[in-house]
Amino acid sequence: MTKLLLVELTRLRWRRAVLVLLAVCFLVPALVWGGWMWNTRPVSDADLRQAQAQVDEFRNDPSLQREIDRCVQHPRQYGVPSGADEATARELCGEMMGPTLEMYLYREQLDVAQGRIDTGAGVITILIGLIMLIGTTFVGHDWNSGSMSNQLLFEPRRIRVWGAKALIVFGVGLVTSVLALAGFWAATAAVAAHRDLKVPPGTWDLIRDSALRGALLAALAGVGAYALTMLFRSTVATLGIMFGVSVGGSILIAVILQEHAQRWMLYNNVYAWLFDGLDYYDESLCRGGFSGSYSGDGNECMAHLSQSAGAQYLLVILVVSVALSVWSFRRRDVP
Amino acid sequence: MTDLVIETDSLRKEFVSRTGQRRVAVRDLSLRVPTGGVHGFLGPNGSGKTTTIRMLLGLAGATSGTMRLFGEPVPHHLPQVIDKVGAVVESPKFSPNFTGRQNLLLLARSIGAPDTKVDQAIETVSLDGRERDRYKAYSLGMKQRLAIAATLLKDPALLILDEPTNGLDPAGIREIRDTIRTLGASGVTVLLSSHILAEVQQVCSSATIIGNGRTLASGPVDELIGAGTSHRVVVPDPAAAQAALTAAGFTVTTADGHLLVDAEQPAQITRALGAADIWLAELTPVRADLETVFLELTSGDTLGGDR
Repeated sequence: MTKLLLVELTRLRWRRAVLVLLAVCFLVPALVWGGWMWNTRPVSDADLRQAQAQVDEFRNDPSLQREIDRCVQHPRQYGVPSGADEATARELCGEMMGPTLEMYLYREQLDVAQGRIDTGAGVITILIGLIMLIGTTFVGHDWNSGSMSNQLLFEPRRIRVWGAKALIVFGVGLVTSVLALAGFWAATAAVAAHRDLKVPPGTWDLIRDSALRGALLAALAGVGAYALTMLFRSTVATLGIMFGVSVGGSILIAVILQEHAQRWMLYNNVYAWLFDGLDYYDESLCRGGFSGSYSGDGNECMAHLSQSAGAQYLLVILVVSVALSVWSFRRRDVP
Repeated sequence: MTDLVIETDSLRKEFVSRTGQRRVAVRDLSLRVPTGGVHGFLGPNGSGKTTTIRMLLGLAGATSGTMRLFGEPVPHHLPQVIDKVGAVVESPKFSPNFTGRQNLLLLARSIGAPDTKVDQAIETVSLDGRERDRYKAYSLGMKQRLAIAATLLKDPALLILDEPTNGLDPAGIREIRDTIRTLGASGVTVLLSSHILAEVQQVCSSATIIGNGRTLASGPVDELIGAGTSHRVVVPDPAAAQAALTAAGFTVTTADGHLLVDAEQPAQITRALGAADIWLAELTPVRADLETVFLELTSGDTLGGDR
């Protein structure tokens, strides 16, 4: 088996499309990270000077002066207390209508805890997609070129062949995801420290756990895509299914299950697995339901999807795909 | 240890189409390939040759029947004998973006063969110098040679070659045939599947002819051809000779100034003519070629098997 694993690892390393996808696994998170850091960068002296110039420019605008004059003449219309002398009224009107420095300096601060569940989830989603592409393109090429039959002439034990390829997809997917996510969060930690940001206690532990679960999910998703490609013997078919599930799956579930749909949405279960469960809105739980006579405070409409329930949902999909794939590969003729 | 390298009994393969229609590709096929030499596996296109080979190699499952390679039942014991079997099934199938050498390295490493074995195989099939080119840049002949090189990675005792000269130019065909002859002479048993009769006649010592998924004839090529042997007889008085030979029980046909007489041995003809006091001017064996035998045996077969 070791020989076969090494062969499959070599085959994967020699496949250029896989190498490109592996590079993208690091490049895209790096770009996302760069964008996140840029958008939350601290205000610099240059930013301050630029904002001050904009405030000054706006304050000297004749239309603003006219508006302030009107405010001084009719303070009540502008919500300014009447009865003040003109200088005070002008100051109050100016404060109310005039631009402030903060208006031009508004920028979100780097929020690591929030980033775990939005930017972090986004990066994990991207990695899942890319590792799935690696899984499908790796073995799709064997079917497209017909070289699968050649491989079986040298190793006819089909379960071993299936298993060796799956293990390589899983291993490469796991290592790649772990490295990409570790790099992403290590760089984020470095920036947070550099900016002297206070991170709530336990946040890094949560991030580590979510990242590891994300990496595991990405690797298993790669195995799932590989299994589907072995089942359908076509990269195109697998890509079609991936596209169909991502676009039409939610619609189909919503149509079939209606008010209970949220429990079965793929993304909700992924989210529950990654982030220790998920509270979601379930209209069927609301008092009155669809009758239109709802009078609650909204809390009773929320349902909880536990992490283990999310994991079971995802595991069932994987197990069914793998079982069908192995059965098909073992039984069907190989062209 | 059996003397038969390949043995099938009552082998049957049915395909079921998406519309539920059953098509029998191989029916009750009994194939016996003795150890050593080059054995031809002849049949028209669609007669079930490739399907039979694919079943022997575990690429397709048999509907019923039994198969043995080196005495071991396959596909159950295929892993135990696969290291002794090299095969090219239909067209060569390799990863087009890998070089020829990379393709062979992956196969060699999967059976634990050293990388030097790859270089030897490349040299044997005269691909050295082009082994680092991508497979997709190879000509058809080079692809065929690479496929044969792949079979040599195992030091096979049995080589199964399915239409190995398909699409090759005359020089390529000669090269492949020479390689097959050399391998056959070196003690490797070669099963050569082909619909090119001249190829089988030139290269093979024995052959099995199939049609419509069935075995039609099998045995040494000389015997297969000999079954249809007749003799050209030239005598001063053909009419008298015809009468004498017919009276002696021979089947005689007249031709342009001579007679064609079916007989197992020429001595039988001379004896019958001598008894009638007719003396031969010429007696020449007219050997049917394999094509004649093949066409006779496969006449009436439809392509694609029974439906």
